[in-house]
Amino acid sequence: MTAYDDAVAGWYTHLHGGGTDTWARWLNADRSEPAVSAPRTTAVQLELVRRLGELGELPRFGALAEAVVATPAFGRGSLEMPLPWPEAPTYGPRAVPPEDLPAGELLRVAAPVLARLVPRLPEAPPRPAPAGGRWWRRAVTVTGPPALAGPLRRQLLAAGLRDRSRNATRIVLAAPFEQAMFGLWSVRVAEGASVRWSRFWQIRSRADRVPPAFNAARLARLAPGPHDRTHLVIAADRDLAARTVAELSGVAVDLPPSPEWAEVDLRRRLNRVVEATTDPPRRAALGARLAALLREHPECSSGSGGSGESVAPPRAERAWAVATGIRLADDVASLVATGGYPVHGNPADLLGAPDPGVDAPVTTTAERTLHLALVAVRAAWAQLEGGR
Amino acid sequence: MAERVYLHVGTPKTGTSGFQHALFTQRKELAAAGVTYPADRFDGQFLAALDLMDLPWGGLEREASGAWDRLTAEANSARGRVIISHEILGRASRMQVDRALSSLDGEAHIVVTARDLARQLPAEWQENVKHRRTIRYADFLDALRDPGRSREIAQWFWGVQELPDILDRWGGSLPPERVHVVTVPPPGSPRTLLGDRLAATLGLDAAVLHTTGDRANASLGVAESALIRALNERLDVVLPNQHYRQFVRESLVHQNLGVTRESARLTLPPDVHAWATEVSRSWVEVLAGRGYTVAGDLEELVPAAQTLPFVDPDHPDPEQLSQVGLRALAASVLESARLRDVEIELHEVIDDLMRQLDEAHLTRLYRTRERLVSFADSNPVAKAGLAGYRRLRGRNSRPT
Repeated sequence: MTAYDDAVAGWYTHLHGGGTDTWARWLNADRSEPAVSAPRTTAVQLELVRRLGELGELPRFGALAEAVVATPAFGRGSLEMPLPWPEAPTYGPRAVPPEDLPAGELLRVAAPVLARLVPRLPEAPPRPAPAGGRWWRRAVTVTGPPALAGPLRRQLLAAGLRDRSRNATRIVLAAPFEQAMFGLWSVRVAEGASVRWSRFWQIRSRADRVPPAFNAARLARLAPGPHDRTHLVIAADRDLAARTVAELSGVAVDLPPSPEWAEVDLRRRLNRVVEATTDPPRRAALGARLAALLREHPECSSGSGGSGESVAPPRAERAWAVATGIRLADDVASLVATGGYPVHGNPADLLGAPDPGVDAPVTTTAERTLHLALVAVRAAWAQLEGGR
Repeated sequence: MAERVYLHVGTPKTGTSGFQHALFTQRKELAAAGVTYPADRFDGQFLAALDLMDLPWGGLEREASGAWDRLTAEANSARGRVIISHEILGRASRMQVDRALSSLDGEAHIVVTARDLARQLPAEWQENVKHRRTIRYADFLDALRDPGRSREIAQWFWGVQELPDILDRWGGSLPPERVHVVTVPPPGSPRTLLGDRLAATLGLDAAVLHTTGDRANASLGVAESALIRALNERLDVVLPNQHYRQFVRESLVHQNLGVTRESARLTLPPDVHAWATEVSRSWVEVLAGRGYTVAGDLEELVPAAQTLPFVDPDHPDPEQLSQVGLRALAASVLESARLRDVEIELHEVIDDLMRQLDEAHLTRLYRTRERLVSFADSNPVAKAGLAGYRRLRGRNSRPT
């Protein structure tokens, strides 16, 4: 063992026991405790253990530390980040103080750790299956962005309404483009996708492809029957939209709060880790367990200001996003101008004020996901170990 | 149980594709000589490497699940020598190396083929270009020279190319005589020399490795690389990966532009060449002190003085670029015509099948059965009878 290996083993021992000293502070302190056997691990795993320890006590924390240091970093990125050391070799990755490691690097270990814990959590309660339409009940068809139309349609079906009939009341939801994109991303991730937020936008903007369900004006024009049976609901405000749909359908419906960006990003990373070995339905089930865990533990908040945050597109796609948002809103305005369609809400709300949202530097957004990952690991561990 | 396992873990761009092709296609001959190359498909060991390292690779990782365990099961049940070879293994972390070595029964030997950085750097950029990257050459070189290695492209490059670090990770727990460095001979050496060195290291008949077939990677010149990079910018996102692989990498690069290089060879700018030489010297110094078994000469890892002028692929000569563009266009038109012919042929097959189907539908028996099925739609008794008949028959259609 080299002096470096000894020092790493010593710091690991400190962290294993729940210590939270940084590497630099630990090196400068006078230590005499015997080192536990240290696995061949890197600065990333050790720093992750330290940060988990910083968040407070946990039952059998040492076992969690052992699980973390035995987890290889997932995917591409830095290889084996060493800890700063005076006699470092002239080759290999340059060491940085572990507390300065990029959040993305820590997430490459945190996500696979979570991927090992989440399957052991109790299954999420199944989503109530739609009861199926009763032929004598009225028919209401809801279309629009999937994150809004999907839950509303399911609730109406669960209440026994039909969604297909020539004489159906048709509700077309229109949402601000960026909000609808975030909703669609969160739906895809909940179904098991692992696409990044930036890539999700890029694919659509480069091909100038707008999801058809976002084009409220077109959906309304395509709706059969007289115009006055097609209701255009401006869903910039989720609660207001749910209330309007409830009034029109006669069924008490609500829209669950939109997930935080960091939660969707964390689920995406979890999907990525398990993608090679699980099919989309199993990934969706894992994601649902994680979401249930986050709901049960209020401390699992990324601190971004709660749900309903405004989510802006990546900088590179902003011009396309703005142009597309304006085009869709203009189409809705033209439709409204033709008259005949009952309109609920103010079409001008479709053009929300530009908001920096998550278009902050990537490190900031990854920091939020990392915070959520850390508290999720702790919550999962506490739940699993608490029940022992 | 295998007596000895050679793990050839890199580096990329050192003739590894040709080497692996030779081993795969001559598995029977090798087996007769007591050497096992465990793979049931050409990329079998690549999938195993992905699995070992938990690396996502454009969806291939789904096929890779469990591939490392399958590979080691085959290796451990073999007798004699076993060869496992893939250049991305060079990127394995110590944890993954521990898993790899502990999963193999035989005496492990690590083999690394190595080439000087002045040839590796341009070759890696070209490889990136062939894999849809749009990064310019100057940016690529800057990213690699950044000591912080903050960009993914640099992290990957050094992960698979930094010899002392790769050998630390793979060979750190083995006696140095079981770590083999095979150097790629300098330009102008006999073409078979690298194969001879590898064969001597692995105890193979050198003739096996001289059959590299068509798997050797294509070599692009400056203008060809510039063209493909510019094409990548146009095709980014809009062309799905599977089509990119078929039409750009395979058809355009491997079968056309890479066959004969008509523009200047890509080299390093003088300042980067000097830096690469300095880095290489420091590596050679480290490696020389470790006592590894060397086939060739470590000094071959120090770049030779640059004799070719540097031609910048970020600012290619317009005349040359247009010539290469014309070649690419011609190749694409010919490929389109070939595919059109295939399409016409397939339409003829479909037409023939449709005609046969129509003839079958014209028979009295068929029309009677069709009327009966149609009648069953509106008549409950007939419907029940048909359902009973289908249940008894066990399937709802006859085999064709």
